[in-house]
Amino acid sequence: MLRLISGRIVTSLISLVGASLIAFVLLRLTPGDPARLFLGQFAGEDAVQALRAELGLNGSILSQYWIYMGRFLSGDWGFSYSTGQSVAGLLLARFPATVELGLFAFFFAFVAAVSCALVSVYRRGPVSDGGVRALSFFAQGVPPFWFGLMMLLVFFEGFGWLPGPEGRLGLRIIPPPTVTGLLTVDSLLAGDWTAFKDAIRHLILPAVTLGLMPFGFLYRLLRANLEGITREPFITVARGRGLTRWAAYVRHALPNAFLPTLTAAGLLFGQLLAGSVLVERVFVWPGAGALVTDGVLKQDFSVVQAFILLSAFIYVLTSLVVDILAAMLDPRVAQSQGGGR
Amino acid sequence: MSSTTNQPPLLEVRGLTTEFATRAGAVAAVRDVSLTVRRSEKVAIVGESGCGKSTLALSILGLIDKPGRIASGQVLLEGRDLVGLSESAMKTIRGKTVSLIFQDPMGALDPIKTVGAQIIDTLRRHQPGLSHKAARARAVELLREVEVPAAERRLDDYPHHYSGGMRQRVMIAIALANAPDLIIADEPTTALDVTTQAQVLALLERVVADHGVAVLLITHNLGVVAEFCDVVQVMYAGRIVERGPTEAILARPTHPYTQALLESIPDPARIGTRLRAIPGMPPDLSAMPSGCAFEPRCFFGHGREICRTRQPAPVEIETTSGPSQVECHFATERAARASEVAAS
Amino acid sequence: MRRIGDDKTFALAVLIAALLIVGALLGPLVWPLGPLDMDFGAPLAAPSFAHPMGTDSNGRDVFARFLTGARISLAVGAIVVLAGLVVGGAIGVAAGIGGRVVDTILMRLIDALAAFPPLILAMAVTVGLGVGLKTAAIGIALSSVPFFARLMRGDILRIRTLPFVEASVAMGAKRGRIIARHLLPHTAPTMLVQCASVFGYAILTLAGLGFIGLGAQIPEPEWGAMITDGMQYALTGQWWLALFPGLGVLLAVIAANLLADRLEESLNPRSARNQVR
Repeated sequence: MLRLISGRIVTSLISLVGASLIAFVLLRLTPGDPARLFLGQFAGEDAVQALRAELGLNGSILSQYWIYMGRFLSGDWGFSYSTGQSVAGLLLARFPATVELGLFAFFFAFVAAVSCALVSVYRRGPVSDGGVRALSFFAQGVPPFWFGLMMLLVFFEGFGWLPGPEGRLGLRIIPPPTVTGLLTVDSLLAGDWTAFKDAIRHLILPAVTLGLMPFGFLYRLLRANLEGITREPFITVARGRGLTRWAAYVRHALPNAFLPTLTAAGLLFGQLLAGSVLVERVFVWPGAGALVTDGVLKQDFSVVQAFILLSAFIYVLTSLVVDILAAMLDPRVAQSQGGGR
Repeated sequence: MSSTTNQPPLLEVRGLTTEFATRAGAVAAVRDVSLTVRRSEKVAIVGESGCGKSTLALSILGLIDKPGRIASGQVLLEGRDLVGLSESAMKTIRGKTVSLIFQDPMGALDPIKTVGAQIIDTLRRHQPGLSHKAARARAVELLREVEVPAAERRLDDYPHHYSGGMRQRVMIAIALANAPDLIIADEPTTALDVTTQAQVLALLERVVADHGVAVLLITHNLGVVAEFCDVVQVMYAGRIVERGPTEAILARPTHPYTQALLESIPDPARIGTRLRAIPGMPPDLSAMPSGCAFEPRCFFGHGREICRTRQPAPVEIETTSGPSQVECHFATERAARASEVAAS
Repeated sequence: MRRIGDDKTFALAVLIAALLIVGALLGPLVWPLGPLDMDFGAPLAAPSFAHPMGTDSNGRDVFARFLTGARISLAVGAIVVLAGLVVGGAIGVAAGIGGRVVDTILMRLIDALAAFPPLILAMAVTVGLGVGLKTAAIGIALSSVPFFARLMRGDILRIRTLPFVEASVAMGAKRGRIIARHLLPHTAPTMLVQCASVFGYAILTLAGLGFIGLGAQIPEPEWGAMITDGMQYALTGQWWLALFPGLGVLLAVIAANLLADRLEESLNPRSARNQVR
């Protein structure tokens, strides 16, 4: 077990070094002077030269990488000239919105995928099965930003049931005092039901849109695992002990189907991260993803570059945590002596 | 014999047919099977793999899922028909009145739940008033009864810590948990090595005797049957072709299939004689012969007109140890010849 | 048991694919209006007989743009699949038959590429090499390399140990010959499935990059960029601008995924869907 974990940590670290090298090389390939790019076209030559020295751009490529990584790891992610703020400050300020949206999207994807997979495996009927299967193909084939736009067309423009692209709260709602940065949590803490309900109403469409692709992915994975596991003898035996088929599926098949699915949760996280870049803009959601698209629009790539390396770190670390968690939850791995698989 | 005729039967299966929907249409794996198990009686169902004996076991417990279904027949448990009962009605019977021991001990326990949790769950499901603590104490008792060493400690182990034989002991403990009237044991020793087989079988024999439980034992091993069972039902291609008292059938089989089955296993009493494999394969269930299903492989009836064209009806035969029933056109003739041979 | 409707959905996938391919190849030649031709007399016209998908703010015919968009998407899809297959496949083969050292180095490289969520890696490339359709294609191709490389390596490692390959190694067959004659043909089925699914991935990602402004630039008739262009009009009543290019992406990706799914099913007869129970 320990060997498994330490081995996994080492490979993750190597991946991160490799990923940062790729990000660094791509950064250096960017046409034009990075210092000029950082400072913008209106900065004076002196300032550019000073920054070049500070960034170590006059040194060897290796020392440049070293300085680049040192700055990144110490939280200095550059300067966004279009906003006049530090990239780290910008991203951190936008992070809670992205996290809240991601959590709700994940919740939607998870609940929908589990119930769809259970029902379609349980019923074994061609109709329910075909319907859910078609839905999963749609979820994996639809461009999320386009889907979000169509949802707005139907539910905001058409029926007027849900708010339009106006961010996290309606204009006339006073935001609750910031504690966690998650509006749903903060409004509950403040006891402000109006704000809470409004925050939820604003979350529905973006969360469904962002969660759609992870839903399709998770559903297909879970379904395949469930289909195999429901054929295992222990399901029949569990029913022979006095569980209904449904209870045997929920209590025995589902937990067993989750284990292999858990290791894929890292991929799911990556989908949410990349999806936030595509979806937030449509709903004018004030998160990190929208910050990236704004940066592209304004040709201010410092934010984009920081986001790219940051997402690699988050992605690799999540996969690592999830792998270790899966190993710990599986008694066959967790309790084996000596570790190695 | 432990059965007495005036007692009402514990389990009575009448004309049970179980079908599976396939691309080629419905295929019957169990055809018009009737059988009776009395209280404390030990009944064996014997046949080659694929003859439908496992399907029969699952059908009795209502564990046949789509695309399979029970097409006709009744499963009467103390006179109550189980066919068509809902899952919520069946769950009070399964694991309580009737328990199941499954053939594959390696796969029969949930790998990510402790053995104790699975025993305790079985107990508390049928005895809602039982506290967790009491259930745990009872689980330890059960493990002790099936001779699992260090029962208390092993309760919290996961199935992969148990050997195959130990797991099958756990399965027996689970089957016994709620003092059932009937245990259906589907090939309980097949996956085990020979010494473990003997131990598990001896254990099963002891606990069954201790608790007076009836057993429906499904096996292809005639040695196990001889040791264990009062009554044998021989199954071929979904039908029961011969049934009767164990001694009579093993000593003097009437159906050619039963005879062939007996001759295909090694027997110390017949050292020096050749083992005879049954030629050919069991018939394809989706393309059954129109006459006797065994005719193409039968050393006795192969090629005979009546065997090829007509399904034989059951014939009653009197044996020294009681009546038996045989589905063969030549049953009477063969029985007479067998007793002549025995007499001379 | 084969599911009811499976053959119908397969036929549907083939039909969609055929329509898109024919539309992409012949459409721009047949349709009288060009994707960049402006008609200031008819801006933001609703779908009609003359403009089946309406016109955009500059009076450009959306149908003409849709057809050229299909051409761009399918071409990029094909290029990405080809490049990913060649580069990723070569890395996979080298890792599979090379020694431990080669395998470790190559797989760490692949790990580094796979450390980014695929779309993000493609974004990094376009930012680094300069925004545009070409760099977007390069970025997507690079992000597909790990898919091919890992699959190919796994396949090669599996096939290598099959008796007939070991026999020909023992008989002293040349390495190149073994790769060409024994290893590669046996990886074809899984690679074919992967090609179909990467094709769908490429189209979807291209649209995503176009949408955020890192791929094709407005007014290029690329589906993703067309959706961006249409976004501002969607909620003011001109829904056709964004609807049709999105439908194009959706249909193309679903067709590719359906084909991949069906190929896998027929190549892997033990897959759950073909079983009786």
